[in-house]
Amino acid sequence: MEARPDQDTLLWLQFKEGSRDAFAAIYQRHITPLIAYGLKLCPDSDLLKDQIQELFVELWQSRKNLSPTAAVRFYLFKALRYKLIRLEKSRYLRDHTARIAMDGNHFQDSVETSIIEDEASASQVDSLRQAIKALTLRQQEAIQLRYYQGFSNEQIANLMDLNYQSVNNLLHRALSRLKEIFKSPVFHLLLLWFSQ
Amino acid sequence: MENFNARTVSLLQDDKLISWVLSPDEETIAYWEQWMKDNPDEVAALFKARGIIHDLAYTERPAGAPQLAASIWSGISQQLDKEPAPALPLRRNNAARVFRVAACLAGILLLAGAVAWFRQTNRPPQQEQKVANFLVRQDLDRVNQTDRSQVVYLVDGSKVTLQPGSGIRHAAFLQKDKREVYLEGNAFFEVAKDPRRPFYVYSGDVVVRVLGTSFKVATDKESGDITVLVTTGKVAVSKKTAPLPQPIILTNNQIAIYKVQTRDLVQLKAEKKDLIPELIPTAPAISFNFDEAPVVNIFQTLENAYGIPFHYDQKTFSHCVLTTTLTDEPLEEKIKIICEAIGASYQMKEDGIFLEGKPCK
Repeated sequence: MEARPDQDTLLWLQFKEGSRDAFAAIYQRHITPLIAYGLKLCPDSDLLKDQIQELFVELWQSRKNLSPTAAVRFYLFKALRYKLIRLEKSRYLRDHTARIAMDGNHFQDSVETSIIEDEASASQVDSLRQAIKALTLRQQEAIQLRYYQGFSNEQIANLMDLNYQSVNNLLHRALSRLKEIFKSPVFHLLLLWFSQ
Repeated sequence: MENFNARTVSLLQDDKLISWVLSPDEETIAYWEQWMKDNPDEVAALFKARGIIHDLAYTERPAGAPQLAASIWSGISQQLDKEPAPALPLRRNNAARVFRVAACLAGILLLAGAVAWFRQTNRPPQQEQKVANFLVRQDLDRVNQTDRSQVVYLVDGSKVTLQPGSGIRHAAFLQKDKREVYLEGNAFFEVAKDPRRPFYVYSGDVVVRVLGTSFKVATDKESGDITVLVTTGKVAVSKKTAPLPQPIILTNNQIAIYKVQTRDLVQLKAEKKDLIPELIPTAPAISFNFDEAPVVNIFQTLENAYGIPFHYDQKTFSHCVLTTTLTDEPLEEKIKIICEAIGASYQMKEDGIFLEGKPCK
């Protein structure tokens, strides 16, 4: 995941010394994955926007007291997750039943995105997207961290406050569940229905 | 998804497989090539698992992230601008170096003050650095953080027009056998001819090999598809991860497109050319015409254009002025011309170009 750790370390040091350019570069390097992760935890993009903005402003203000870190991305993820969980009163977060209400919006998103996508591949991606929605939120989070963000199981365990074995189990269950969904004829019927 | 079986599930949990898909490098590619040789019966299962990881990653790409990122950043900037700006942002180690030099000279603090004063008066703000350059070991990272296309120069005389938010990374002096440039985003390349040292551009899974030509590489923000458009000359386009790359040869006005979703690299028919909305980004070239210019300004211009730090004593060169017209020659040629004119000598080292000479009258 950290393809260029040296670069991250250097930027982090320059940022700690007060370089706005280095700060901007850190932002550029990590913001897209961070948004992807944030949207998973908090689908309300306005709310997320405020939280990420606050995170970076606080980062800048406390730069002198930060420890040197090579795992910048991990650090940012951890900080954002902590922030969003602290905001947990919000109905969006973590396995709450109220989240069901959000899934409607979520679905809207995916329909819009799929229209933009290449027609030939849209059906495959869309079916995967639908299948992922059938997973629990924790499974979804772990799947993104593993297969989009490229985090190791150890890092995921640290980030999600789980032990290593639990992460293994979580991912294994998620993949097995995806496998079942794809075999289920009901799923294909559902897709047919969704696509109309 | 038919072959999604237990074997696939176990392959999906392989760290090495995930890095092969998400951030392939020579090591992982070699590993999996060997694995395929050793496990010929499992190649199909491997490609299945690889495809699933690819699709999972693709599914998680956040739609609209660039807009959201830009909007968050403007909010952050507004808040930070309320604070006083830091004194000397990102001047690498120069400040420390100047100070050390001063300290060596019998620790005269006054001199340190004078040098600092020179720095301020002799480096006019008109040469604002538009592209952020970061030199790490011998690699140079150059990112266009402005909202307009910007030209950057490579030491061999090649020129790269970077679109906003795009960046390249390369060995600072292109000191290897191959001239290799890693691209993130969109750029237009004008490559200096050097048949002995081919020029490579890497963008995602796509590799473009060139002998001397101009072409554009663009990545679609939504789909991640990568487009290569050749305006002059000839290039070979292939996939980085393909076990047996069969390059597509492109010449004038031909286009190849790499579809991220299917991992297919195909050449577009010529008449589809107008499908590509903006063909070539334009950015004003940096002028290397100098008329009675202080050489310290010339050094600054070159430092900005090439992203390579120049190390020299401000005081020594402070009275040197020069009238010269430099064009597409490689950086070293430019430096030779300048050094000859002012009787200075230069050395190219890992962390930049070091100039020495005598004060001009």
